[in-house]
Amino acid sequence: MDRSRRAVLAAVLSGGVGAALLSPAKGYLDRFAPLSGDYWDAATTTTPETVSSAYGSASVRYDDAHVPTIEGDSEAALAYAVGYVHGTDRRFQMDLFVRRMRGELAAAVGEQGVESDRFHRQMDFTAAAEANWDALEDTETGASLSAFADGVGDATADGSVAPEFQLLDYEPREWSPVDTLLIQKQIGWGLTGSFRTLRNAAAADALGADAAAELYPDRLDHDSPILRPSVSFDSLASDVTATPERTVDAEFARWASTFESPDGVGSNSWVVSGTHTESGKPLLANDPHLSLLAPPLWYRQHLRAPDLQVGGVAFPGVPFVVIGENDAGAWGFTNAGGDSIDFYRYDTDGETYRYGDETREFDVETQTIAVSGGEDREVTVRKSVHGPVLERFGQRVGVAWVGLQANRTAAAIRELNYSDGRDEAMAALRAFDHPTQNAVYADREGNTQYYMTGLVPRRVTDSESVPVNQIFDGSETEGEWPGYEPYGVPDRSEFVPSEAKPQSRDPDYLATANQRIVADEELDYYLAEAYSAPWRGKRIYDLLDERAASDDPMDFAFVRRVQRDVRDERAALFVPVILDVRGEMDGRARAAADELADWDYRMDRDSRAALVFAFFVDAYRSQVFDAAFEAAGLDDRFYPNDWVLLHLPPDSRWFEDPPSGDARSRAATIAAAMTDALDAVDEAGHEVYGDYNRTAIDHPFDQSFLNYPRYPTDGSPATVRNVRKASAVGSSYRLLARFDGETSESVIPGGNAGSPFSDHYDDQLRDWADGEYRPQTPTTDGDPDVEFVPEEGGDA
Amino acid sequence: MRSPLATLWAVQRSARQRRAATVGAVLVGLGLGSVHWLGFVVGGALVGVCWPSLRSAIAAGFGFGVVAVAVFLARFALVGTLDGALGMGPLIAIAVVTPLVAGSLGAAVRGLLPAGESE
Repeated sequence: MDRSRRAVLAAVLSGGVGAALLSPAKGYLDRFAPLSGDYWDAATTTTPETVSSAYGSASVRYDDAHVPTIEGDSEAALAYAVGYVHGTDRRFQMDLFVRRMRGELAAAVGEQGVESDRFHRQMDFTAAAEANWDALEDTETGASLSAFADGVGDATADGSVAPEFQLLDYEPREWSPVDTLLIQKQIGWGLTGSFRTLRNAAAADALGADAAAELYPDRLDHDSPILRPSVSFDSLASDVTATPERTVDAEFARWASTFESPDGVGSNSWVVSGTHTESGKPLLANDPHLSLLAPPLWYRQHLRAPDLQVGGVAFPGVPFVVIGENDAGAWGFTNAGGDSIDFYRYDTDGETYRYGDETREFDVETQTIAVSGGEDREVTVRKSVHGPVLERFGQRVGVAWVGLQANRTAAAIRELNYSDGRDEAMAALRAFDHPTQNAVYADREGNTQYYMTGLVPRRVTDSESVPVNQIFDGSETEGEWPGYEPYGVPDRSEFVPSEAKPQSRDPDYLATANQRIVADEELDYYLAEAYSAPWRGKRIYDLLDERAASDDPMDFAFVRRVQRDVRDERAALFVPVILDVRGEMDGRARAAADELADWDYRMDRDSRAALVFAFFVDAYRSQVFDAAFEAAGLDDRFYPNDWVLLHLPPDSRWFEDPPSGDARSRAATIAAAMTDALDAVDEAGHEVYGDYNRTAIDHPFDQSFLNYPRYPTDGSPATVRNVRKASAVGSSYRLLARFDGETSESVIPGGNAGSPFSDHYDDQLRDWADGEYRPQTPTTDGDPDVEFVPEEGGDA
Repeated sequence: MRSPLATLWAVQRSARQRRAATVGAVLVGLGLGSVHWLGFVVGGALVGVCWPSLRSAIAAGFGFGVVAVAVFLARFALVGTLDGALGMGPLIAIAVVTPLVAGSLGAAVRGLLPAGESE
């Protein structure tokens, strides 16, 4: 009896231990067991109170939202400390950004990173960043980037390793100054890397040129450009001609589009001069609509050094303040939409291509993509005179992109941080080579300024300017960019000069929301292929105009109200149309439409009408386009924007003679969409808009314990207070800057700390969802949380 | 001179000695568990052999696991990350269950030893 019990116990013991040691459970236990599991190190490792620095003295004080005020005795001491702080708070995110841009994602995440790596290797963003570094290395900016990189490295060595590295069991890459420039390339790519030309060509090929022209107009008919007054705002249909030589198939366009930013990337900003404000001082607002990530895309920080007092946000990995304010002024950016990319086809035998009268060899390199847990892949990186040649599914397209050149943007941002008034800020903005941005500026002297940044190439064929809405014939030397030097330093004198770019000195008030900047006739060069729909731009101008015409001056509360505004101009346009066709609807749909009659078009969380309208727009889009697009093999990436959808007239071909599916009146289509919308609402179990419109901000690993909590919020893809739930895009930072002696305000959708163990991982998210702000105030009192002391033999 | 087994039985019989030995075993087990998760199995075994019966040994091994979990969570509480750690879903579950199971499993070693005089 005793013996058999012992045998059983021995079997249980050895079986239990053996199973844990020999099964996949061992990997989990190694990482997540208490006390010994590396994963938990991030929860118990605290930043040292004292850090030895080769760059001199600095200090860090965190406020109650974990926003650091970093003060250095010198610029280098500051940059080192900033690197240490970023390396402590956002190391995983920084590594992920850089791996993506370098094409080394699969080495960390496995198979799912392979296609991304293939694309990014082919684009060779790394070589572009290296060219940038070559141009910056011996400058003050280069010195800051070097010190920053050392700070990141020392923070990593000191044990501040993010738990994500343990989750996937890999090590962060060593950080270098090139990586900071890769972050800049990533942001630039997200804002200007558009494959619209390829998509339009593929859509024209699939649907017919006429249909495509109607769906993807180059210009939208409205009267709310950034620079007013302006003339000639008729819509301009795209004249894409899809010849077999100048198109790609939808599969290629879809593949390439995967590496664009998601739908909805845009931004709002406006400045109001003291002429219109209660205090007599300017006001500035900015909220860039970028991907909403956990942790957030932005890192809030205050920086102080001799001659420097600046606060705002930076991208993790960037040692300066990108958007914010200093002791002289404040600045913000929205995407200008300048066309910074062109595409080329070649006469080629595979290894060589014709370029005018010459035959040239592609610059070819075979690289290996390391794949964690999988088979390594080889990728051919091919370049022509224009830059990278993307190659997939048996098709090749040459790409010219402004961001592939060395640029001065990092130096320009640094100069903005140090700028002492408008003249210096403008000098910095003129050197902001990439991307094209609507920069707004206001300062304590009462100046207001608008300026469009970024190099704008002139496109020429045989010395003649050419329109740019098609794939160029690279072999015929069409669409050349004088001065362009991919992976090198451009001849900037060949690009559109600063004085010819859109700008406005001392506007009374001015609003930018990615809409058309100015009438094309007012420019002597081609600027943009297309601009965003003017829903937000029109609304902001309406509010500013209304207030300016009233007896009430604009004040801080007013600009805050504008930034929180949730009136949906799509609803203002289309609800009357819906109401007009109620006779076509069944009883349930008619009752729902009746609820829209008294609605104020506000996308409030407690509104039933807002919920119905949001679902209606999606259903209407499906009713109009799904059949034809499915038949043509085009997915939702090819759908036109809501401006086009909601402006389709009753006699549009999409109702009377669609490319596929049965003809049906617009009224019947609207009625069917209303029924579909109500079905979808009921199926989801939603009662009010806030049941649907909830924050949906996820960690790249998409694990419930890393994703942000879901909070109801207000706004829509078309409102000033911007949130696009479907693609997790929205106001990534809200800044309200003032110059009347009171404190500016800001908020980010999440938290400053990247560690999911931290109380500050998502502590600003609720405020963001509720439209609340935090004071943008540096922390200068109290003992430092971290002190950097000069190390013996250091530079200091 | 008493054999090691006789000494162990003496420890098991004496409440005072058993308590002291158990505390020592817990400390050793925590030390080993801090190096590798197998340390919780060894710790459980050390704790288990201090007790006079298999049943009490397994209960003590489980108790050792509870202590290990408490120490684990206390470290988070000390640096202010307890809420974050408790929000880690399946990962914190692995961490909590590991010493409870390992401690109990290790304590089963007690059943492999000859029964003491009190048994």
